[in-house]
Parts: sequence; C-alpha cells; structure tokens
Amino acid sequence: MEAKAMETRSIDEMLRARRRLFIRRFLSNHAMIFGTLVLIAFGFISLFAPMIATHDPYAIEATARLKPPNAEHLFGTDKLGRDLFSRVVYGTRSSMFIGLSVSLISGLLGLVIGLYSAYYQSLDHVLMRIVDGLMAFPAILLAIAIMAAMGQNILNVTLALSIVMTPVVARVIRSSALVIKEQTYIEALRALGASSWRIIWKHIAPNTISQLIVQITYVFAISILIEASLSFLGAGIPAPEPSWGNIIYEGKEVIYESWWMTVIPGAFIVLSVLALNLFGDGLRDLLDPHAKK
Amino acid sequence: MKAYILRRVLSTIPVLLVVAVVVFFLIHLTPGDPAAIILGPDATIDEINQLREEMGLNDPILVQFVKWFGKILRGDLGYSVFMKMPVLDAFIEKLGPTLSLAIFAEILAILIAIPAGIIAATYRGTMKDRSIMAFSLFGISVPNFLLALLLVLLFAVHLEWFPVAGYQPMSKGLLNHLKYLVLPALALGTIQAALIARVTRASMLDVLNANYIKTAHAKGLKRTVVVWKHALKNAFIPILTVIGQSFGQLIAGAVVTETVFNIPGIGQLIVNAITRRDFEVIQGAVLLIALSYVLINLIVDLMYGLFDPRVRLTKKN
Repeated sequence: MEAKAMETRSIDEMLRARRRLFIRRFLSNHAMIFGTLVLIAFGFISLFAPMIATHDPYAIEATARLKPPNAEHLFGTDKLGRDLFSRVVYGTRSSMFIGLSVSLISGLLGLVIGLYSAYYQSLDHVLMRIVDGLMAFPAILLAIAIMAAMGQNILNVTLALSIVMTPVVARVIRSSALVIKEQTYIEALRALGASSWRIIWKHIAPNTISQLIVQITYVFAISILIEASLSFLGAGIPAPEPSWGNIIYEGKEVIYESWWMTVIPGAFIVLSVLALNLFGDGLRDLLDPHAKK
Repeated sequence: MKAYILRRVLSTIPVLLVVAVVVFFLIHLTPGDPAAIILGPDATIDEINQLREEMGLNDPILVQFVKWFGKILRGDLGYSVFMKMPVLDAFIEKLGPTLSLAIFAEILAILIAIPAGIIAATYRGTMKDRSIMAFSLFGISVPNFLLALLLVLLFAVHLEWFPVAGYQPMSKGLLNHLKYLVLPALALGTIQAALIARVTRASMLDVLNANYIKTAHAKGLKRTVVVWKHALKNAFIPILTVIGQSFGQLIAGAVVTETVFNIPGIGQLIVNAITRRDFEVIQGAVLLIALSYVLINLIVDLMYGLFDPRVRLTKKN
C-alpha cells in the first residue's frame, strides 16, 4: 500500500518536473510566444467581432467611397463606402472559423484513416490508393472543382478544404503509427490478447497525438491560404459576406488609388499564417526535442 | 532498373483510376440536370428526356462511368457549350502561357533556393542562416496572389520597371516575352523558393554531419568542392522530390497568379469557367492538371534511380 503511494508520488513529481521543463522551454522560444499571442488576439477578434467592429460591415455609404484610413474609418472604406475595419474584423471571423473547422474535421478523419490503414494491411492498400489519388490534385484546384460542383457558401468551403486536407493528415498519422505498431510493447499486448480496438485507440493513438496536433496547426495555416485564394478567384466565400480574400479581390480593380484594400487584409492573412507556422514549428520542437537537433 | 521502372509505372494506374473516379463524381455532384442546362429554360420535358437519353444520363451510374472513362482514354474530355469547342482543344490553346510561366518561375525558384539553402546549412546558426530561414518562413506564409499584387504596386506602378499586366508570346521576341513574365514568375517562384530552400537546408545538414564529409575535409579538399560536389550530390534526392512536387504546385499556383496579371493561360480558362458555370471545362482542366501532376511525380521517381543506385537495386519496402 505504502509502496504504491510512494510510486504514485514519484510519478506525480516526474510529471510535474516534465511540465515545468515544458513551460520553461516554451518561454524560451520567443517565436512561438509571438505566434501564440497573435493567435490569441485573432481568436479574441473572431469571438467578439460584433463588439469590436465600429460599423455594420454590410452598410453601404455612398458618400464615403474609397476613403483612405482616417479617424472615422480606421482602415478606410471600399468601393461601396463600407467600413473596411469592420469588414476585416468579420473576415477574421470567417477565416478563423474555416481554419478551425477544417483542422478539426480533417484532423479527426485523418487520424481514423491513418490509424486503421497502419494497423490493417489489407485496408492500407485500398485507403492509401484513395489518399494518393486525392493528393494527385493540387489542393487549390481540387477545392475549386468541389466548390464549382457544390455551390459557394462558407460551409461548402469548409467541406471542400476538409476533403483536400484529410489525406495529408492521414499520411502523417499512418507513417507514425506504422513505426509505433512495430514496437515490442504492441507485440506484447497482442500476445496478451488485447483487442485490436484497444491496441489502436488506447496504445497507438495516444502516441500519434503530438504529431497530429502539429499537423493540425499546419492544416489551419494552409486552409487560411487556400480559402483566401479561393475567395480571391471568386470561388470561395461569396460577396457580400466579407473574407480577407474577397476584400483583396474587390480591391484589385482599384489597386492604383486604394492600396489599403490590398495591403491591410493582406497583412492579416500573412500575420495569421505566419503565427500558425511559428506556433506549429515551436510545438514540434517542444513535443519532439530530437527534431531540433 | 527495368523492374524498378515497370513497378513504378504500374503503381500509377490505381492512382489514375482514383483521380478519374473523383472527377466523375464531381460531375455528378454538380447541381441541376445537365440536359436541362444545355437546352435552356424554354425546353419542354420531352426534349429534356430525349437529350437525357442521348447523353446516356438514364443509364446506371456504373455504365455511365465506364462510358465516360472510355471517352477520357480516347482523349475526349467533353465539349464546352460556352466556348463552342472541345475542352481538350481549349486546354491546349491556353497551355503555352501557363507552362512558360511555371517553367520560368521554377528556374527562378531553383536559382534562389538551392544556393540559399546550402548557405544556410553551411553557416548554420549564424545571422546568414537565420535571415535566410526568416525569409523562407515569410515566403511560405504569403499567398502568391498577394505577393503578386504587392510586386505590381512596387515594381510596375511606383517604379515602372515592368508592365502592370499582360502577356506577350515568345514569337514576339524572347526579351519582350520575359519582360512580361518577370513579375508573375517572381511572385510564383519566391514561394516555391521558400519551400525548396527549407528542404535543401535540412537535407544538407543531414549530409554535412556524415563521416565521409569529415574525411573529405580532413583530406584537405577545398570547402567549396566538399559542399557543392560531395555533399550536394548526396543531399539531392529530397531536394529533387520537393522540386518535382513544387512544379505540380506551380501549375496550380500559376492559375491564381495568372488572374492577377491577365495572362491568357489555364488559370484564366478556369476562372472564366467558374463565372460562367462551365463545369465541363473546370472538370476537364482539373483532370488534366492532376494527370500531369502524377506524370511529373513519376518522372521524378524514375530520376531517383539515376541519382541513387540504392533505389533501383533494393526491392520494394
């Protein structure tokens, strides 16, 4: 009894020490802190968009067309006199919504497909050929084709991007699960008669989670980039709903006189993707110290 | 080597089949009755039914797939009602500018990325390394249409060094052709360069720690010879892979970049097709690009065999 209590205490201590090390390493990674702070700020903007926006993002003001940034309109106005600050704020909400939903959907589907194709070889042949086939399409083109077929709205953008991103996650999870599957402890579990379901979900899956989380941050970043490109091509979020990409699309015609319509939403795209990449790189180094060496 | 080539070529068949199935189902996801769309709003139900029968839309889906697939194999990708020409012809007509742009961008990307990646790896941890990596991180965080617009603002509108938009075919003189392509290729190439530089650096770092490199240094060989000849040759396979993949992405990226510069290529074809809801063209173009992507990867894989004898000698797995 006492021995058991001591054992748990020492495990507790070990976990605490590990957590401390984790926090210390996080705090020493300035790039990752920057990324994290930017992401928190973007999350905050998305959640409280109605309170942060100074104007109605759809309100047309004919007398205030294409005004440069000023005290009344912080980021200026667009061709219809709509307040660009409010439109960019709501655009942040769309981008974050799409990025987060695509990461979650493709993360979950990719995890399941990756784990099962690593575990069952017969399934592997079929699933990986499908994954290969889907990956043969350049992501943005497949997304365009899906959007053209299903029609343009924010949910279809999410669905199209999830279809495009799932194979990428599945591939990564599969390769890391294949390595884990060959470990001796998995063999021991099988010898003990553990069920496949138990081995997959209790013993293999937890060991792929760090890979999954890192991959998800990259999926988030790529989704934002592709959504912006789709909207810029007129195949993403349809007007008048604001998105960073379609604001830039509208600004393209007036780029000579109204730089703010291109530069400001552009800066938001770059900042968010940069923050996600920094966060993802930092996370990768934190979770897998060998990767850095 | 022959066995390797044969195995690799055969392995593309299931991939191509999946590609075909995906495109076929995309056609069937398209809302609305194709027959009704072609005949327009004035058509009677009988006329629509007759056309449905002629188009084989009343057949079971598997029969439709086999017929459609047979047509694809014969090079028949459908007919664009809007452009009044077969999809394949429309694609070929627009292919020149896109290929020109993609190749030019790829050359620029390689010329920037490989030296940058090698410098970053050999001067690891120094200011040189950090600035190259910071630049490359920025590169993968910028969408190419945005970079294109910013380049236009700076180099075309303010400095007036290059034309704002447009395209001149090679037949109007190489210099003229390139003048119009510099900005789009730079926009497209920079982002690929960022990707290739990262891989080059990582791959070079792996090799530079190897014992035979230490031996080469110990023998008193010049640093440049060791790095560019001994190390690069062995670090080249991952670099080649990423160049191959990036070329596929370049073609997709060209689609977006072309619209910024009004280049009459595949991108314009697809974007116009989106606005006209000309599904046949979108699907045909996407199918052909996916095909070329598979082919490029095949060629890259076959080239591994040339660079690395281990590839052609080892059995599968």
